Amino acid sequence: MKIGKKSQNEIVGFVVIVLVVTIAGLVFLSLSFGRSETSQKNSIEISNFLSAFSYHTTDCYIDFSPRYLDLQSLIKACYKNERCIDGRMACEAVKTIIPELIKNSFNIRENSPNKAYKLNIYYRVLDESSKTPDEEIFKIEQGLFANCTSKISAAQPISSASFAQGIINIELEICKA
Amino acid sequence: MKNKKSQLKIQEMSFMLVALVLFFAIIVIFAFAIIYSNIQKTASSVKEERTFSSINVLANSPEFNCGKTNCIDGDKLINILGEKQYFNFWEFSSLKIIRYSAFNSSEDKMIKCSLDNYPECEIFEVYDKKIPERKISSFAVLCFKEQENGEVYDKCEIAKIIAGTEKQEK
Repeated sequence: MKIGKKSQNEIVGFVVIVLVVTIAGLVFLSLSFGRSETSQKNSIEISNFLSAFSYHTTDCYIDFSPRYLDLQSLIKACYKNERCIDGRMACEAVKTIIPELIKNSFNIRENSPNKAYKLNIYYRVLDESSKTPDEEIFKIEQGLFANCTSKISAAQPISSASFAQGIINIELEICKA
Repeated sequence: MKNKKSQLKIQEMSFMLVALVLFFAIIVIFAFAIIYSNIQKTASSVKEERTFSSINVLANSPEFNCGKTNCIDGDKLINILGEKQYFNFWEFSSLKIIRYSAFNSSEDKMIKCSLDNYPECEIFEVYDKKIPERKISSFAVLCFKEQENGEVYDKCEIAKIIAGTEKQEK
């Protein structure tokens, strides 16, 4: 009788241990696989947008009308600290035109599928041996870049003979609700 | 007494085996579910990327292209609107191009482009087979000729290409 009770206790203990291990395993598995990580991927849509965006005609011209600059030339003019013929600095024009273009194109709003974006335009020296840091031309972040279900991004270089040693890069990232 | 003890030992072992089998079965089911959902996600994202690429190819086709990458020539576009030979030329069930000025308007309120009102219009309806479809949009640049101070220049703006793909019956 004494032996029987001991065995029963042993079995109960064993079952409890197995149950605890099973539950712990399940919790671990569901945490490690089911965690909703924000996925980040390159997007052809944004890439297409950036290539179209580079050719968008602006209202700024530098020499004579109607030689309006496209957006990539305006960004280059901004990097070179040039002015539009109407007196605006090219960088001022960049600051007003680009956010409006992105906001309208992707319908960036708090309650829309695209809730925020980050744009970074910078100059990068191509020579890998020189450790020159990237030179910021224009950077903007609009909307709340938190709790994104996914982030999509793309980058587009602007190359030009006048920037033989480097390129201007445009990076756009969008936070999906 | 000794027999009972052995029985208990066997019972204990069988409990353990059942628990282990259950445990591993659950792990395998979990793993399969995760792998399968990942495959499905990848498949749908590949399909989506392929459609985006084909829209991009469209903007680079000779019927549309203005000479730059991902660029649509508005003057070419206006001349192919509603042409029936294009209905089966592309793989899409409908094809529309929306100008930047109309990005945030609803489609029924947009001014449709025709030879009479071009370029003072908002939407180019290349064709529409009017069948159940899934719409995908991407961006391209739309260029057309403008005149100022006696000089003609290319005015380009961001535009949305909206292409419909036929809904597959499941």
